[in-house]
Amino acid sequence: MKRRTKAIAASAAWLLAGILLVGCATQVDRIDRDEPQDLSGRWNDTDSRLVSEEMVSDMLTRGWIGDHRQRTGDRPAVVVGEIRNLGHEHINLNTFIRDIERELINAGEVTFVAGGVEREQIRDERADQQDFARPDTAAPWGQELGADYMLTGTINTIVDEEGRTQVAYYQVDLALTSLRDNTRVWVGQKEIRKLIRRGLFRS
Amino acid sequence: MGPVAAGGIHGAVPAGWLRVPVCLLLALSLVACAGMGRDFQRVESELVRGDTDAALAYLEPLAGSRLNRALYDMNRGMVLRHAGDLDGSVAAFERAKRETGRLEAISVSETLATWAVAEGADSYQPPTHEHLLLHAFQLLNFLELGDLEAARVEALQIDLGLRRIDPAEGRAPDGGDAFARHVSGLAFEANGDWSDAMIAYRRAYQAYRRQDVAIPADLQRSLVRLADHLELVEERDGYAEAFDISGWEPMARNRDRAMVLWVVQAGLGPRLEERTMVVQAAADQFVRVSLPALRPRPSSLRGARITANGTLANADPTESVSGAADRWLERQMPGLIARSVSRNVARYAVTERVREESPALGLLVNVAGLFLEQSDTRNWRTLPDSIYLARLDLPPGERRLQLEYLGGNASVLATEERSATLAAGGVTVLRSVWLDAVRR
Repeated sequence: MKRRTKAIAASAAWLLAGILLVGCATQVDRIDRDEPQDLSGRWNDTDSRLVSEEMVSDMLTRGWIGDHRQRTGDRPAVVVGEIRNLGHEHINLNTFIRDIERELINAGEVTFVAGGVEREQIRDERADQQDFARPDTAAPWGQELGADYMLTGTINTIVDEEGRTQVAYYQVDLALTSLRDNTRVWVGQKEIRKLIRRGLFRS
Repeated sequence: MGPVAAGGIHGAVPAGWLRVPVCLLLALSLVACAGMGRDFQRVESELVRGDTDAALAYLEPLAGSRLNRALYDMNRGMVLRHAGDLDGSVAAFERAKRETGRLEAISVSETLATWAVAEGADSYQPPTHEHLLLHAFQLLNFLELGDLEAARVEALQIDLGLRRIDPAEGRAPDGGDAFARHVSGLAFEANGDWSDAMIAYRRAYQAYRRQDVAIPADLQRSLVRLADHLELVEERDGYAEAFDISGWEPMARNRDRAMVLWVVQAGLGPRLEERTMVVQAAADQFVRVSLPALRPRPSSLRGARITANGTLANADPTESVSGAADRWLERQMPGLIARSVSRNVARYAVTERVREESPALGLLVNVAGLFLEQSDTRNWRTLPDSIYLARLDLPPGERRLQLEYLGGNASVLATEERSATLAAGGVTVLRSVWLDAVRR
């Protein structure tokens, strides 16, 4: 009887220790990237991915690609220019731009050329090669592929709030402009509306 | 009721027997409180000495406190700003903003604890003026880092926050909004958003007028220039007449000029101190009333001026943190008194009941209650006491800038020369901290 009580006490102690350990441990679960996770209601990776997928898909099904191919016989070269955040939230534009670039490249319909800071880094590296690389391996100057079109855009937000309920409206505008003659060949718009109900109580 | 010296004999516990331990324990509790304050005083002493690494090290113990998470990051962000680590400051301020947002929801247990146990038993939630200054300093961090878009985001968050408090007018109850609106205008202007800048400047002007303080010269000039640029002729003439301004640079020249902002953080923000009174509620039962009081810590700085390229601009006072804190505390006082009364009534009832069972245990409960009754003296103490701001619009290029720090009667306390490479259409922010013993 005494032994049985001891065994029960030991089991209970182990169980309690286990519960405490599980309760204290940080838990990390891997989740699927397609599974939307809206924690705060702010702009997140799902918004960035969905907007870039939909807008690039729309861009690539419009007539400007066919027109370009007919005129030049080649795929259009596109560079991503400035995308401005004009909203009330700090948005990581780098991930959004990367999402757009990925969609453009993977679609295989356009040739994508590097722009912005990346292009400067590449040019710096090319300049270094002229001094330090073997002459037959150094990348030559003046061989960059000039872009035919530049993609620019803005992210705007409108916030309406009453009590603990907030409606956040995001409007992403992207435009593709011909570098040859400044004509706009495509304009796309994607809107996201989020209803955020903030809890009255916290734990 | 009467002061602690008064008293009598009740039940089996002699008054003398009671008074000695009560007074001893009270003294100990006060020493313990002062000790907590001393830890933070070390942070401030190191800041005044200019040793920001040591200040950060003394700040670290606050990091572990779940209730003071926002306060820790606000102080850390400010110390890092003093140190010139603006990226670190931005990260700390962002964490503080997130935590503050999380704390908007009510915690039932914490609310009950403040009514039943002690002030300061809840998570630190910055008052509105501190919240606004958190955004304003974050905005200045972004401007100094050259991230104009992020500065604009902060300006929009300031507007959103103020509209949440006062949907019609966007006013802050205790101040802090004038400076926040003023720097918002500068951020909008730097981004070329003229109409947003005009709205922000107008709101800053209204807020300064409500506080009955002088309108900073930079704001006066900005209002006239922007109203002129937006062809608001009547409004422009009104400002020009009110501020006695007869000539101004057209806004169109902004793109050829570089905006130089000089921000001087003078003194340290006010600290909250505890004012305690122990009174005898019954023959051998004491109650303690502790309320916070404000101690401003101004500096000797009374003004500043910047000269470059033959142009002089005065740095005007744009924010009085101690003034805003004073108004905030005055507004809080009825609630603090009500909660103190509520806690003491609850403790009195519990102590009486326990004392009926056991006088010795009753004494212990009474002493424990006296220990617990402490005022909440937490506030953002690394804020400056006041903020001075000057603006110059200069031609681009390498410029030498003469900075003068002025005391009473416009006497020059110190001078400094800095050089900066100014870009056309860009913003250059110069940051100074005046803590009397140290100037950086």
